[in-house]
Amino acid sequence: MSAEPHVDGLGELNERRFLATLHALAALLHTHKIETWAARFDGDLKDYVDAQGPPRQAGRQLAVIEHVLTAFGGLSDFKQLVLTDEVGEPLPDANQRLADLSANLWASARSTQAFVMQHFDIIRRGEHQ
Amino acid sequence: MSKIFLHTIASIKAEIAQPQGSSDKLGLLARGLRWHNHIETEEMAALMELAVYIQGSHAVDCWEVQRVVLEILTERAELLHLPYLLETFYQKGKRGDDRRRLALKALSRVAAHTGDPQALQALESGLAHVKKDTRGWSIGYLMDSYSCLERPLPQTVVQRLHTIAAQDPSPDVRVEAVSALAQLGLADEQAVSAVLAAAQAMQPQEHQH
Repeated sequence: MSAEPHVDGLGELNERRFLATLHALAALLHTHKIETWAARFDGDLKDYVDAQGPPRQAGRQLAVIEHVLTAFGGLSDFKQLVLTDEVGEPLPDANQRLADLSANLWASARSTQAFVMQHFDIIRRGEHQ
Repeated sequence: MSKIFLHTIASIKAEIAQPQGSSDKLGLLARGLRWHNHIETEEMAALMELAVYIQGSHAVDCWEVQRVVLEILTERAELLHLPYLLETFYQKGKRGDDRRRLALKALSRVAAHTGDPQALQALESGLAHVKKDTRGWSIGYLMDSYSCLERPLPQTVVQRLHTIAAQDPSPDVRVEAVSALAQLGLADEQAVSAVLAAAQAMQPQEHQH
């Protein structure tokens, strides 16, 4: 538990946001037949939930989070996805939703990473080190 | 030195110079740059020359090329690239969200490695950006940068995070600000309670998607 009891609910909130966003993103990508990325996020969601325990496998969950965050790496194709209709025209609403979910996934993954590390006393390595 | 990399850059410039240059062809050529594994000093210099060249070109959509330049900079940026990154971050126009996200990531790399005040200032300015995604990305990259520098966040940033936590129009950004403050042991109970209550209220809406 945290030294500050009032922030405990925050970690759990971020974890719920992370899982809900993974689920919503995979569903959106399935809808638009982006099956490779949909399957990847489905797999990440399943791996994370499988590691919930009890006992919670914090190391395995952190590995899942790292895997999710690689989708946002400099040369990843994920942020280049454009959702289109049958004739290849971009779908503005769907792409806005994709952008919103992507931003939420990145933020909630990082907050959950900090939560799992702090909660389970794992020392964080800086992204740039 | 990679002749293929430099030849690809020359081909991109030639396509841009065409009276009817094709953005599709530019995208294909740019993708060739992305997968080049060994970018050395000479290649980086040519890439940055290309980056400046496309800023002056308005005849054809060069976004795919600019994106590749920025993607490479997220992994390679150094202090000498700061002017380009600052100009790109503050640039207005189409694809602003993606452009700012990549510029912020590259700026955070420069900030984390050098502690450069201008890079840190740009990241901080992102906290006040009109677009919620940019405010959210800025929180994360600022936290990363100061963590790598092993420096405490400046009071101006802490104050801004408190303001975002209390007042930001986006519930997601409010959660991010409170979470960042909590990581620093600076989140107050009222702010945490407020975001938890807002999240509780949002749950039925989330199920509608």
